[in-house]
Amino acid sequence: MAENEKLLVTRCQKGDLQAYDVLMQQYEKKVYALCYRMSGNADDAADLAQESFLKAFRALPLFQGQASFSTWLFRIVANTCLDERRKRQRRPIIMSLDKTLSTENGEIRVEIPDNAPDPLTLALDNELQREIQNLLDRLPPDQRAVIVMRDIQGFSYEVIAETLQINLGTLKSRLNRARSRLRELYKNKEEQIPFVLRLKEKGGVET
Amino acid sequence: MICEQVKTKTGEYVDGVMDDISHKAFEAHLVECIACKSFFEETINAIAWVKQANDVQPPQHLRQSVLKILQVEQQAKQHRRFKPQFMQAIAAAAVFLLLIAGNILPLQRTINNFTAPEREITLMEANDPENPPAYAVPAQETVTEDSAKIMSTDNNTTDLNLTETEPLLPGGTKNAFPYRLALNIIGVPILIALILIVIKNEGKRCREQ
Repeated sequence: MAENEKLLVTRCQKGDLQAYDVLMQQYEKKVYALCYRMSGNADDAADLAQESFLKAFRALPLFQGQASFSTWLFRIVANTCLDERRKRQRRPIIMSLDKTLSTENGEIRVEIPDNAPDPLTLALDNELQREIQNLLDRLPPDQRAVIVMRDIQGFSYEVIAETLQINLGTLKSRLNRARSRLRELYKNKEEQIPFVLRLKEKGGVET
Repeated sequence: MICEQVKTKTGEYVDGVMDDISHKAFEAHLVECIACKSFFEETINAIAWVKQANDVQPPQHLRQSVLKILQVEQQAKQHRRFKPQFMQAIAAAAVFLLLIAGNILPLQRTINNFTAPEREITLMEANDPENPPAYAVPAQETVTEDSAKIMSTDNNTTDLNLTETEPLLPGGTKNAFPYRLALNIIGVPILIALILIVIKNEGKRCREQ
């Protein structure tokens, strides 16, 4: 951990919000990206990122500096995202689109909110990006986390293992399962997506 | 290296974390096995495809929202830290004043009532024993001798006797030990000490939180 970052962390532990703003500025992009890839939409990502930063600040007095601040922060972010996914899985919302809802004040028609991307998102995001996110959304959360951290954010094995609090062997096998699943999904998807969205050069990955 | 090993080691190969011996064996197997080569290519294509994910920009209000919430929390925490102490100090002061006003002051007035007339008369007599001022002389001393005789013979008329002794408290006498006063002198400091201890502990607890 850089000296400057240590100093900022110490100030934050004493409740200095200005110092925390500087720290947030350094990490907000990566934190938000992880939240975005884990949740699949901008609104949830903003909520998750906010929740993660709040949890981190509240827990900072307990941070002893054993791990680097970034690893510690991303552990909180990853746990927040995974917890949120688990909560949603436990509380599935099942509603009928056809039936009206009976209340004391009579029958009301249930309106399901439109979760489709807003026009701005549509304008900014192209078809390929949506396809990538759709594919990531179909991975189990723990596998999605390792794919996002390794293949999109480029974290090292050590950092991912420390962040997710798993050993290297577990990480390697989880990453392997995740990539196998990704391969299957991509293979199925490739037959459906337009030719122009496919990789121009197959096998053009850095090894 | 067998086909199953290739499938489990593809990730390590792609990430470059494979040792030299395994690396060579892996590549050698791909040359020989068409199925594994196909699997390998599909995997790296999928990874490369996902890597095309764009950077996403966080919303501008993200940090502001976090700071705003934390600021409110900090203010609430500070408010909670001082409020119990402040309220308990007010309560302690109120109890103290009530005890003073409700117990000590009436007792003090009673004592004055016992002693004041005597002192006044003694003083006046000392100043002018022959002609005490009329206004300072108690009413019973200005009565005529005749009426005094009547009053002294009438055992039922106790008004004047009462004014002489002035027992304002029921059963109270001049020489009675002031139990309530003593109780308050001992009790009030103990009560205040207890309240101060509670306030101190509460303050310590709040600081720890």
